[in-house]
Amino acid sequence: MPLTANKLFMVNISNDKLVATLSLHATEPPDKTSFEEILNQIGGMKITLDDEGKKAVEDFVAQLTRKEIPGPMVIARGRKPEPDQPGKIETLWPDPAHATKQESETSSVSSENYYDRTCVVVGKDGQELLRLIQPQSGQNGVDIFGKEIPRKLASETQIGLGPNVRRQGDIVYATCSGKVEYTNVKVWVEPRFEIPGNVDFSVGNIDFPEDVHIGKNVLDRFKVSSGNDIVVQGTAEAAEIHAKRDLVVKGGIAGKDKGIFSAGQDIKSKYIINSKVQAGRNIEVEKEIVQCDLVCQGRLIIKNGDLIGGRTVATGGATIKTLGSAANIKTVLELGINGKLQEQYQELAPQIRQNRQKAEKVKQVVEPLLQNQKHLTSEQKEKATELLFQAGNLEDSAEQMIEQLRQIARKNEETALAELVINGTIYPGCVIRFPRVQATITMALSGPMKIVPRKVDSVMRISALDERTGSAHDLGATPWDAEFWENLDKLLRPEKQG
Amino acid sequence: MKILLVDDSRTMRNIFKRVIVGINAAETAEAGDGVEALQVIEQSGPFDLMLLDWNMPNMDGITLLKTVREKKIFTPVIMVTTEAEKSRIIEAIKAGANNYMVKPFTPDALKGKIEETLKKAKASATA
Repeated sequence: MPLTANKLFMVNISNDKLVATLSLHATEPPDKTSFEEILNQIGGMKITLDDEGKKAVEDFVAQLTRKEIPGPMVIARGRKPEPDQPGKIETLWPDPAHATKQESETSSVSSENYYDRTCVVVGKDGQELLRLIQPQSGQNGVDIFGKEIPRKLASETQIGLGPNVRRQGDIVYATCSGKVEYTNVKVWVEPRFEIPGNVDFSVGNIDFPEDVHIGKNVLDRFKVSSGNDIVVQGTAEAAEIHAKRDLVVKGGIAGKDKGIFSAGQDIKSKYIINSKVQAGRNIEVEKEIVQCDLVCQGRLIIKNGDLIGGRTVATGGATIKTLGSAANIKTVLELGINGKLQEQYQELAPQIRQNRQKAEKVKQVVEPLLQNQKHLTSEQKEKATELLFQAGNLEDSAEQMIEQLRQIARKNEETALAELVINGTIYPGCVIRFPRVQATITMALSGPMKIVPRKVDSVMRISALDERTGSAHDLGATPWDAEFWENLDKLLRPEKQG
Repeated sequence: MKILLVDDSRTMRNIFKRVIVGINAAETAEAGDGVEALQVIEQSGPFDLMLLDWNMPNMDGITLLKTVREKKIFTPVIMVTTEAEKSRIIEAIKAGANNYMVKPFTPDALKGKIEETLKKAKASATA
């Protein structure tokens, strides 16, 4: 910065005009000088002196008066501009509590399980996704001449909004459930999750609230679940796949005895081998089902293929080309049986028994009191009333559970007439069950035929009806799960037990 | 339908409520003694039925019944009590009780008594 001076003094101004320094120009102190003279000189340069600056000039003059040579003294300081603090975008999903939980869960495990990773970040309808934090204003500076030095301004924090998001104030919300996509300039929610390749280590497990489409295969030990449909273009191996609605595995399912697959509605696949499968409605397979534990609340359809081995429950009946195999492999097929009935019975029957027993005990306690009411105190009468109500509640609760079972049993009766349609052959070793009766096939039978339960001389039998000739062939019938049905009948009888 | 349950025992009030749920009563109000009951009647009345315990602190059930009738409130009342003497029953009926329930009783018995009282009240109202 050029020096500004007279013959005695000079004022050095820094390049950024933020500091002015006064120093002696002459090699010796002048004979006579004054504070005012220096102030005038500085004033002429239009430098703004504050009290500190004036004090520095005073010190400078005092040293000259004492015939000392003063060193350079700062007489004015400007103020640097403070730039705006830039804004930023804070991500608000997944929620921090969930993230912390996952972190602590992982840290508590000594060795990390690489299979147990979920790589998909999803948002829910109404979930906060982003917070836009606006820049904070800085302060303009001022140089030693009192001139303003403008600060660096930050631009407003903005984000482009793609589909399925909305902005309210500085918060961006999801307007549907789905995969949140976020780049530095745009945010949106994809309601469908597409994986072009395999579900493997590069993708991790998937738990997605909407549709999931997988371009290739789901590899061993990975888990995929969806709140809607799942479509797998390739195969599913020893994996776990759960769809709340439909599951379609175009390439086929080979569970290697470890795969678990379920759908709230239908399942479609080319084949299903060595897997545990559950469908809320129908299961349709092109080629074969081999050695599976399969439960189908609707109808099982293998029009052109085989059902071999394992245990299959088809509540709504089945249409199969071939049942069993020439190698006499035991193949159990249960038709018209609502698995829920057995399941609920196992759960509720002990509770019902327990409630009834408790109610009986309470009544036994109250009975002597009721026989002797005249000699009871008020407190005893109140207590007796309470106990009677307690017994009543226990009985009511038991009755409610029975009603629950009755409703399932009624539903079971509706499906009990399910039929098995065999278009090809049924081989020995197959066990066909309908509610209460079962038949074991001892010789190969050729279709097309319908296998149905029917009463012959008021005894339940299982018959094969030849579709071509219309003739009926008795397959015999032995009681199946007789104890369960007997106990159930006893429990569901309208009159209260005990 | 609105039913007022007056008993100093919370357990007994809960017992009443459970029975009332079974007869599809839409709404219940509760009070722990006669004084509280009068406030509830003033604030939330009129009721379709009142179940009154006899022995309660502050104001007992029979005094409450008499007070209610003096106020020209003719809501059907069932007196619920441990007192089984005939004189007590007559006293309650004279005071304006529509029915009487002696403890101990079963849920079915209480339910029957409530239904019977409501039916009679309805019949006399339409007569």
